Amino acid sequence: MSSSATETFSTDLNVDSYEPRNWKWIGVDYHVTGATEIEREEPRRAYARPNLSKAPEESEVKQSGLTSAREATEPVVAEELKPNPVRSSTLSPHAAKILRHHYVQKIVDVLALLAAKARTPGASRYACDLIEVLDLYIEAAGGDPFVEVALTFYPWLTSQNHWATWSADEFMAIRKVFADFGNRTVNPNMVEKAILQLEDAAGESALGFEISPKEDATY
Amino acid sequence: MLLRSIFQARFKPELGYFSKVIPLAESFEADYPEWAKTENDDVQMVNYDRFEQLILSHRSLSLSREGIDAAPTETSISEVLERAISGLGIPRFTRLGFRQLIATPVEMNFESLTKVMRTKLYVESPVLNAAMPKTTSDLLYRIDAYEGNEKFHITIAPIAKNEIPGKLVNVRKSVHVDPKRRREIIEEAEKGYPEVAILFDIDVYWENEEIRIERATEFVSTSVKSIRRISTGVIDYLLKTSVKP
Repeated sequence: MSSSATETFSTDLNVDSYEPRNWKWIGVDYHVTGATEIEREEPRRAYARPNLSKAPEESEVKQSGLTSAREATEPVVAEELKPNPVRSSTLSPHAAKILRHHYVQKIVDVLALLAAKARTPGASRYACDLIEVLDLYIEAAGGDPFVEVALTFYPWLTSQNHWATWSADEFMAIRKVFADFGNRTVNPNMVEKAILQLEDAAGESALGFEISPKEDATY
Repeated sequence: MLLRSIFQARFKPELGYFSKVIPLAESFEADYPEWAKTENDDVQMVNYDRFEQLILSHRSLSLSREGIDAAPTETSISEVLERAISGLGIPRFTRLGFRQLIATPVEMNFESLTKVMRTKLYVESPVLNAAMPKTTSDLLYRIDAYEGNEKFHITIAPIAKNEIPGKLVNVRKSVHVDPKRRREIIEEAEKGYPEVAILFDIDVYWENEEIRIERATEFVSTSVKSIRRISTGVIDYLLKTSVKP
């Protein structure tokens, strides 16, 4: 609490004399550009986000902490799930846990609404809400390893628009993954499992790139 | 941790007060041995053992406790009220108020607590986030509210240990503390202060020209419950760590 804030505490019980400050319009022609210029496709963040449209190089995997079904077998991915210095925040572990549960609860709640409106025009509204919650979570709790799950999920909604094609069952299966894993103690293995289950729940279409036998042979 | 409690009952001033207040103060002397009379003819009486102060004024009576254990019991408030009502001949009250400052310790640093409270007490919007500075370093959540005839001034804020003495509990200047034991009491009190805490400053009051004196006890009981309900409810919300499937 700031010193100016604490000045309001006096021994006098009569605090109902509080008066709002006399705000004055300073006449600036204020043009809110940020409100309309937020790009859903590439949200503001200070760290790398998985780009599932192409197969990543090994060096990219190490830098970004990218995780998918393909990389799950490689031990280097699990190692990379540990918070790196760039992404670590000053958040206490307890605070990180509180924020994780706060956002995961919102994700779970919105997914239930999406399931109810699956494959209808009404789903778009809740899809926007879900993207917004994911945005806020990724921004607010960047140092939390569970953010990896949100980062995996995010492009399926934004660049691939799966919110429009997923069935109610698929939404509920995704919701179950968030609800189940959101309550567990976070560690790299748990995050890895959550991502794998999320991919199972979302179906193969969500992987974002086709795995043809020919390409696979050269990878 | 309760830092301060204040109960105050206001009534319409009457000239008869000045002849009645001294006999009333004398009747309280056994419980509040230290006393002082102010320029406004208020009588301030203190019990250093209980860190408790009683102020008799021509338009109000106040009972406050501050320091280590700042909880005056409902019984002690009711007793003071009962004696003051008969001693001053108060026909009805115009305002009854009960205010408590509570510090609930948390297991995180100040920056983390500020972030949690910013996230959970304020609107979360990417547009607002884009407009505001990136990092919130401190905050104050302040609302006035009512429920039926019960009105509230509610302030919730993160506080650090070094903010408590001097700002919230001014033991150094407090009239509640025996000047001879002041240093010892300050040290003992400061040892118990949490490193980081959520501060609740909750003021519950009824305001009406015609509050019957019989209702004062009911007010004390309901306001204590209301403060407890608000503080525990907000703590549960702020520190919740589970996802409901």
